[in-house]
Amino acid sequence: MARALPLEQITATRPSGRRTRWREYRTGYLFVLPSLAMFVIFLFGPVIWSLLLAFQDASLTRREWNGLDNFRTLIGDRVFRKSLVNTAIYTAVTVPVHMLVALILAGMMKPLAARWQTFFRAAYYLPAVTSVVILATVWRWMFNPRFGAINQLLDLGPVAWLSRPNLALWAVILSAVLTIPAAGVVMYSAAMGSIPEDLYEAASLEGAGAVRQWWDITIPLLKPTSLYLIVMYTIWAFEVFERVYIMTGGGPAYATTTIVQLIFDTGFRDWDYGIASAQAIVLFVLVAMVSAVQFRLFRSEVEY
Amino acid sequence: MRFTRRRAVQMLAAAPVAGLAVRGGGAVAFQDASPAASPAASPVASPMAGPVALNYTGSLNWYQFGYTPGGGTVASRLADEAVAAFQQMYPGVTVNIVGVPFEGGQQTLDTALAAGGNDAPDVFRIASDRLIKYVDEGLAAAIDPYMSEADRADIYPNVLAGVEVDGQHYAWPLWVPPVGVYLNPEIFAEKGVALPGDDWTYDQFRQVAQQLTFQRADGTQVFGFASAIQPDIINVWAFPYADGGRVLSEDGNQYTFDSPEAVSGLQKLTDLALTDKVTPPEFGNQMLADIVAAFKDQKSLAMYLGASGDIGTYVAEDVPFEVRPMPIGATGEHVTVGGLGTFAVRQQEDADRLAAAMAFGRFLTSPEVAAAVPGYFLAPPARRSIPIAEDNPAMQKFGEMVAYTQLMPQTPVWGQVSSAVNAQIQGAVTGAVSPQEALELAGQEIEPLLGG
Repeated sequence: MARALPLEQITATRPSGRRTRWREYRTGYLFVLPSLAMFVIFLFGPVIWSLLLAFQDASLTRREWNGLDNFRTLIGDRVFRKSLVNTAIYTAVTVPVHMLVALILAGMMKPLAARWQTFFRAAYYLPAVTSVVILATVWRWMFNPRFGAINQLLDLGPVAWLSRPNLALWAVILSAVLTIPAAGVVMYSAAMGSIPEDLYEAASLEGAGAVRQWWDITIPLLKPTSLYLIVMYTIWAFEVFERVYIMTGGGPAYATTTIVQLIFDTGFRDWDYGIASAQAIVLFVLVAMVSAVQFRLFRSEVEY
Repeated sequence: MRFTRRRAVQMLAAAPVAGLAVRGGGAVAFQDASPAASPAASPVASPMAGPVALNYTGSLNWYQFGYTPGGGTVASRLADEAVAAFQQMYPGVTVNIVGVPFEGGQQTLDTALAAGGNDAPDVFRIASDRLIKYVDEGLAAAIDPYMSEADRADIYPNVLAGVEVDGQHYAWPLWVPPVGVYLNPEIFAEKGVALPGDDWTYDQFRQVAQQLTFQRADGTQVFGFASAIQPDIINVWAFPYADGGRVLSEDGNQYTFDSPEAVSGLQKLTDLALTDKVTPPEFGNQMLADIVAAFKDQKSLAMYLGASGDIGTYVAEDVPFEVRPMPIGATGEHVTVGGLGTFAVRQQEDADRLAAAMAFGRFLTSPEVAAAVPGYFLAPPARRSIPIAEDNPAMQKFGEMVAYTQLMPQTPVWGQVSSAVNAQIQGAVTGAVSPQEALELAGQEIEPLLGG
């Protein structure tokens, strides 16, 4: 029978818990170190730096603490308020439409044979691997009032979609919602494929029709995917920049100016890094708040 | 054209010998050149200067927009030849050209300037309306200690004033691209409209624009006039300026573009769009590239406002075109607006390197480079002594405009001013707001920034 060693002897002969853990996981830590270093240097560091700059009067070579002055400036800035409204409208329209379109397309793909599903997933994913700059350039031409495809198709005459303050934002939104939400289609399609078939069989036996099955089985079981997608689409929508920059440059008369475009102009054109950082912090807080609400609404206890 | 030692010798033989003067801190300045040696064709004493003694041996960094190594573009080839000419004059100095793209390159330049160090730009291109920001940040060095009296006399006074901040000059003026009117003579001929003279008035301009707005038999709609209105493009400001409007007070501390004169000028612009409908439907948010395409490719635009930069494209592509000054407005005089391209030199502690950079910055804007590199100036030069090629009548026209070109005022918030005014002009020409409201709204954005 083994004799128990006194505590002092154990601590004297075995390395401490922390050292043991380090020895045990050292290889793992080394593997994640490059990735962690990149995260700290290029993401976490700049975020913290931006947070600090938001409370400073910062230019290219000078910095001076100014408390909440930058945020006070933003409150009185009519263009910033306009950019917030534009971004909110863009987000409020594009996110639900993208979610719905992705859901419908994935649903339509579900009954297809596997090879056709693969084909459509690839086809729908094509826009995601195409540069937004190219897409936006094409859309700008499509909205040309004289020879653009939109006016030709709708036979509306020379409607200047991108040059009228009351139309420009809606034209940009239209260009966004008519671009297939590739990530959503692929993720919903994969999620639908993993829902157990016996749930549908049982529902059929109980007399539930296709719509009822869709509503009571598919939709609830897609909640985790929906949560991920709605959060991601919301973040992407809040960060819209290239599409607007290419199609309208933020005009006319600030009709399409978005927050990120304003941050870009404030930081890189005006060298007002303090204000630009304050704008970025406001954007961060907004996205965080909206995401928190989305987490609350879409969280699901259901696992399958 | 290759720059050879022989050509350098010829050039230096033609140039008056210049000595050097050392002023505080070891800085080297160009001494006055002898007026007697100036070329007969020059209207003023030539400030041609030979090499000055430099205490610096090593390399300089020249950050140049749009440069691609190997002379891939005309501008790149000219840059290479200019550097070769300078290095012939100063064998101990090597110039590294760092090409930065026009799109996004400004951030590269700014970051490199802020970072400093041996690889930082010594000489860099900068538009005069952004210059004050670099001065405020201590990034641009004053050129006064290195500028001779002949240089001062040679540079147009309004141009020299364009690089002045608090009584000092901070960049070597290169060229002035004034805003003029490009005309498509084929469309004029098509409608039997005579080309206007240089002294045309706004009313004549308006009448011509109306006559040249028509539909061809094949259904193509031709428009009389267009211009880009974008945050950083001031071309259409020529209308308010022609009526006596000015965007800011002379000291740059007050917004004055809501004056009756400025409103009158903007009203004229909006009338073209909203009353006469001589502009394309996308006017207000039309891209410059689309305007040029409509002018030269689709032949569906008779006139547009532009600077001299488009001449090269039209000559290269054999596009027929004419240039006229802005139509005369309520002031009764020729007035136009324009930018000012300059070369600034980075402020640095090494006085010898700074002197060498100044020598290079001056050279890039000088009669010497004009003599060494034919075709170097792609816009009307900022100096009176540099002639515009006689076989370039369009550039000659732009050159005539330099004397009355209103350069934009120096203010650290120029980016915001330009952006705010243009955004509201977009609103006015699309009918969203009246000209009066537009210029007042711009003022509400700008005035808090000026702090006057």
